Amino acid sequence: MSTHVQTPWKLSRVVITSERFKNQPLDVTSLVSNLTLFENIERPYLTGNIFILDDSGLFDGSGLYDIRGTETISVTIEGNDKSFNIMEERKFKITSIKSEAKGNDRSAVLVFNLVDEYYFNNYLKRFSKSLKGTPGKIIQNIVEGEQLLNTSFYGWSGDATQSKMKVIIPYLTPLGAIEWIRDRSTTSNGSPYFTYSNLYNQGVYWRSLDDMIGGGYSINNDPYAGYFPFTNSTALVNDANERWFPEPEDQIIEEVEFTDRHNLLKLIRTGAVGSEISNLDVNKNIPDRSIYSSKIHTDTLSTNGIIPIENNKSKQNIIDDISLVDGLPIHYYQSRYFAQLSLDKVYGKYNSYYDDADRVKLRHRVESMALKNMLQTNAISCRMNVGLLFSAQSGVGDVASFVFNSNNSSNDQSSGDEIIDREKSGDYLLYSISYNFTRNQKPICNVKAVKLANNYNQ
Amino acid sequence: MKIIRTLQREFYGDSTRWFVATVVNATPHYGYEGRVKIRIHGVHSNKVSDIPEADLPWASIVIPTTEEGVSGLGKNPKLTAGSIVFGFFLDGESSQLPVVLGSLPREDYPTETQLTNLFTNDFETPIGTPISSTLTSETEKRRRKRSESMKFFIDSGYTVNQAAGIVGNLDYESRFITTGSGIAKWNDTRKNNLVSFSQKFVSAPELSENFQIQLKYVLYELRTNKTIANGKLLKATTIEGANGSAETIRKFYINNSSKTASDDILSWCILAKQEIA
Repeated sequence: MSTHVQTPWKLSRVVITSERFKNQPLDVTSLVSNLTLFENIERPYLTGNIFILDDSGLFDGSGLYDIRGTETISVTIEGNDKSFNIMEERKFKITSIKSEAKGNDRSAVLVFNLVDEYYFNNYLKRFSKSLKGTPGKIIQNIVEGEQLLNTSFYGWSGDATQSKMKVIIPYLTPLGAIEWIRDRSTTSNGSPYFTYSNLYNQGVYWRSLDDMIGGGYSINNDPYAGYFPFTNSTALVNDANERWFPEPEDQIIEEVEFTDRHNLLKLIRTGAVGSEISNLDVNKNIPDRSIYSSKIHTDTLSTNGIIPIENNKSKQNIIDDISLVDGLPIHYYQSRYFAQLSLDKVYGKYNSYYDDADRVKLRHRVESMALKNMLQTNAISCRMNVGLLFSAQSGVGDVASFVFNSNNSSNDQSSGDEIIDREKSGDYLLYSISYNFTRNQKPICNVKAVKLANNYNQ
Repeated sequence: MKIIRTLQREFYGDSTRWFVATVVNATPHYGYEGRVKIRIHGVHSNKVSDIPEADLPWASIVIPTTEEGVSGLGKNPKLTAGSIVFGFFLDGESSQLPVVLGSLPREDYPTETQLTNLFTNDFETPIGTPISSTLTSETEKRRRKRSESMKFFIDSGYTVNQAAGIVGNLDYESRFITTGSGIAKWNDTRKNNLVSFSQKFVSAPELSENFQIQLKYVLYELRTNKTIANGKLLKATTIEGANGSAETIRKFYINNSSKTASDDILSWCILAKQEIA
């Protein structure tokens, strides 16, 4: 019945190199027993660890290959039938020996911590420099130019709404500077930008939440035409667990856990429900203040087509805009008061990091922070069939439609009219992914995803 | 999942960062009155290629409460290029919005560039000229180098008399001219070692002719290859006499044993001592 080859992943090449090895690279491909790699939408680099079985004394200090924590390890992972590469040759740095366990006198298992090579080098390149441009251009310049990160820049989806500015990087690392600029960047809807990386391309992605949401479901080449189901059919689970690539009857989400959801108090404490921001231009003595309300913000996002609308109301399930506290909805209250100062003309004709042309842009600063925190209250942890992600080359920053059936026991599945859990089903942003490759086994993929919208319309 | 904080502290006053900076432009153009352009130590790179002067911030200046400070009323600050100022950032760690609180009075010293430029001008007196005939025509540049040398060796742990013995000999031998065989009239072997030594500080070999590097090299030699000279020098309590600092340096460091410390050399040593007095 399966039309796909059910062979496991293949670690096609793992080579350790170092100037200390005197141009003699060490090929450890056959010695790797396990490889774990982590993607996170808040981190523009990959981290991971690798298990190496040393049964010939390679790393016991007697030979050429002593590990000091600066070695480069190049990893290439092929797909199951070589029709695609999961990860082209990617260079990591070994940052430390996480552990070393000796089973007997003749062998040991070493676990090396890995980080992207450019992340390692980034810590050696702390810099102070003046940079000019829009936020996106400045980040692109740090990533690709200036001899700082020397990696690739991906995911250009339009620049931030903040205008051209001049900043002086105050001795930050390149990645620290990127995050600093990113935190200043919003769309015209007040949505935040993310910087991240994934398995498929070594480099930095820079993409707005609007673009992620507006793009909707973004994983193609799957047998479900857009929906990742989770069912409780144990008969299917067993077969599916054996399969490298999912079949139409498989459940793609294999396990799921909902934890720490709808923590409205946390949102209130961060100011994500309602808050006020003020700015005083000290030179002009012109105060600006702006009130942030999550209700108005989500309604605006609906009006602008970013999140769905239903019965003339924004279709969201994060903020309770009905319940009252002392007679007023909670979004009428300002739980945080952000006060900042600015100075006019510090950088001549250029705006500084803080200059906001109007109160709307001033409010965007709170809105972007609030949206990021809101996402986290709708998070799930799940284990997914990884084949689909690999074939579609999808990772963090992409959106998938997750479908969960209702717990209603009266649900008659035999009729085909399954009752959908509309509260949990919808479009999810893949927030962090842990890929675990164990030799001769199907890769395991643990995903944290955050719900963006109730887009399940069946 | 962690709480995301893209905004800095809730109240700007909770994030304070102070700084010391050098004023690079104190003559603001129209519309920027009452400001100075500053390069902040530890925040702004000293390399003009990284941060050109045009990109540096125009910092606001706090003025006394006895001045109005509104609509052009009140006195203007009187800072000048080269002033050292103290201040704080309105935005804390982001360090984009500097405000100057006051200035730190200081003594001016020649810059590295100015010292290097000294070598392009000939001195008026020939090497070895008796001091009695040169005092009135001595250049200010030579005096400054003598003064700087004395401070350098005293800061390195020598007494005033010991430092004067070193500096007087260097002055007599070379007038502190760094080109050719250098301030200590080194032979070829020692000069080659100086080039290697200078590369520890800078990659450009020509900077072995830098005055400060040559001073450091004298100190390096005394502490490594010339330990006999250094040991005897550390026992010297006076400039004059057979065991004095002038004779010790001439005999054991300069290696000029053909003559004793003449009155002229002693005079240069005493003159060096007077720089500190």
